[in-house]
Amino acid sequence: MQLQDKRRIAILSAYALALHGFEALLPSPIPWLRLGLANIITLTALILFGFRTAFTITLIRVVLGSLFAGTFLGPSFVLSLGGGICGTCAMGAMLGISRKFFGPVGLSLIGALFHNGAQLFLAYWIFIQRIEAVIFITPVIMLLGTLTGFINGIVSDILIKNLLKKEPDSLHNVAQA
Amino acid sequence: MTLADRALFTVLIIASFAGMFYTREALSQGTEVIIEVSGKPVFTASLDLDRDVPIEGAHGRAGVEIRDGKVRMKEAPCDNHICMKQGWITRGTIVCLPNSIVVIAGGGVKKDVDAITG
Amino acid sequence: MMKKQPVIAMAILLLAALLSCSPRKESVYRKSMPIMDTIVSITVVCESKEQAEKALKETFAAMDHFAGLINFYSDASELSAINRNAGTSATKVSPETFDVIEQAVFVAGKSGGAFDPTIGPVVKLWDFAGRKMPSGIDVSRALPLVNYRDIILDRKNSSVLLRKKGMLMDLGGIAKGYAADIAAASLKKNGILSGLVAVAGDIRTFGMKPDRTPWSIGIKNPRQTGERDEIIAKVRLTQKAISTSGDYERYFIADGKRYHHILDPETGFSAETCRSVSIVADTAVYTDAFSTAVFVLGPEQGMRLAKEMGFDALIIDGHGTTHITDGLKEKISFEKNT
Repeated sequence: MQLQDKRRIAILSAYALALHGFEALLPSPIPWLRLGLANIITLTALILFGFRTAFTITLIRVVLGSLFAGTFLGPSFVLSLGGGICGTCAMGAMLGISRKFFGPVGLSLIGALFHNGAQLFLAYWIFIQRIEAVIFITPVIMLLGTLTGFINGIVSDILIKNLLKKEPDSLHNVAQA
Repeated sequence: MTLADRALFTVLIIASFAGMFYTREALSQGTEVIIEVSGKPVFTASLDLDRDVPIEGAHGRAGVEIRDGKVRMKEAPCDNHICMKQGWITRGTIVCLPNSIVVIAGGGVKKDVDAITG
Repeated sequence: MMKKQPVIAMAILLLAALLSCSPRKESVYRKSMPIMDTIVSITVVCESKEQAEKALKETFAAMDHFAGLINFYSDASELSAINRNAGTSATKVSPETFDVIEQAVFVAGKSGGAFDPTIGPVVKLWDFAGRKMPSGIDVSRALPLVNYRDIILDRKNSSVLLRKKGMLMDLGGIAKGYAADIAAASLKKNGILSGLVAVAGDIRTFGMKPDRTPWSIGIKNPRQTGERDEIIAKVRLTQKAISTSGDYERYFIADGKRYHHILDPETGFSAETCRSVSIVADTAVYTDAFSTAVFVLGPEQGMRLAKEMGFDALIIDGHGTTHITDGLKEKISFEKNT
């Protein structure tokens, strides 16, 4: 891994963490509603710098984020980790299949879907063991995830376009790679 | 946005609403409150009998309140209090993940009788 | 520019479809309260929530008031005053108390003492929770105090006297039914045209459900093994009351024999020839008391009494065989899984 990669990962992780922390400060009108702002960074990193970078950022964000919040290795950490890994992998896989089919919005939606799916599965499997509870909440989570995923996708789209405009050379290489 | 993006968004929105509609209909339509801790039922009572139920969760005591056919998590020893913010429900579930407490309203066997004698 | 409008329109349409309910005229309101050491559930069909709530509130209050009058365990109750004054003086009581005692004496007379509200001294000897059976000597000593004919009712003064000292009146076998009737009367007074009152297993129905079908009452399986065979039969009722007396409510088994709370006033021990008796009649005060009387009398004599009174009955005898009146056959459907 090059020095530039490391630096990039560090900076992007810091962004992700900042958004992650910022989000936790926001009052949530609906319980279960998480904006998933950090996913903007993950998605942008995925499209511009590839899967490895995005995955590393996700891991750093989840681990450090939970350390800061004091929930490391607790239930919310497990859910966060599972959701983060699954969401990033799903987006990475879809991007690997085709770079043309889905844009950032579609990828973000897929990420949100798999992120939430993984969390629900983990919640059921490890903590609740009550299928009704999970089934009942699933469509609600799915709706919220779709809406937030849509917004995050649009933000990522704008972000990526701006970045490509500002630094077309240094980024284009990676994006094409 | 590609065409696929829009299509996916539409499909997901429709699927969510359909899912909400479906679960509302399909889930058990009993009139009971069932409270479970770590997957084991610890309390079952009628939803139309007002009462406060103390529940021993994984990390201490939580309080469930049943009032006027509704149920809520009154207090819970957790940080985020998502369960408490959910407020009163008449059907569905309240989950307190850190304490492994699940409150299911409108659960139980759907009885096709209005009362039981005996 | 994005073409979002169709999507948003679709979402709004779906949301509207979800939220809008078909305009309902009548709704079912249901509330339960602990009264008389049991749970009272009242279901009312009503157009306005306010009216339903007001009716429920007043009805529960009326029942609570009645429960206070006839509470066997409270020294402040009128029933306790009657029991304290046994053998000494007549006790002036409120009209409800007088009425329920009068009804109890009526049922006792009709059943030849198979139902007897003065069973108190014998009941006191039993401890079903503690699995304690009284000795034959204790029972034979208490039995002379059990006789409904020793209840002296003075209608003019609304007073009640138990003739012998040591007599104890226990209205446990009739008060729940009476309370259900009180509730039905109170609901009707509050403009409720349709409802169901369940004081534990003593149920009074009136009117129809919102879908214009009769109320459906499950009869408990006396030998229930799990959740799936809780009910042995369903009865469709309107304007009727139903009660069931069973040997499975409070009981213990000692030396292979079942000792339960339905005591034969003649012997002081559990009546043995039935598992459960369900009676359908116009008022719950009758179904409550007569189900006990019929249970004590046994399948044959009991069935005769039920028919004589013009009641419908389902008797499950000691062998599990069902005896049923013709009138009930068209209202009942037996469950397959029992």
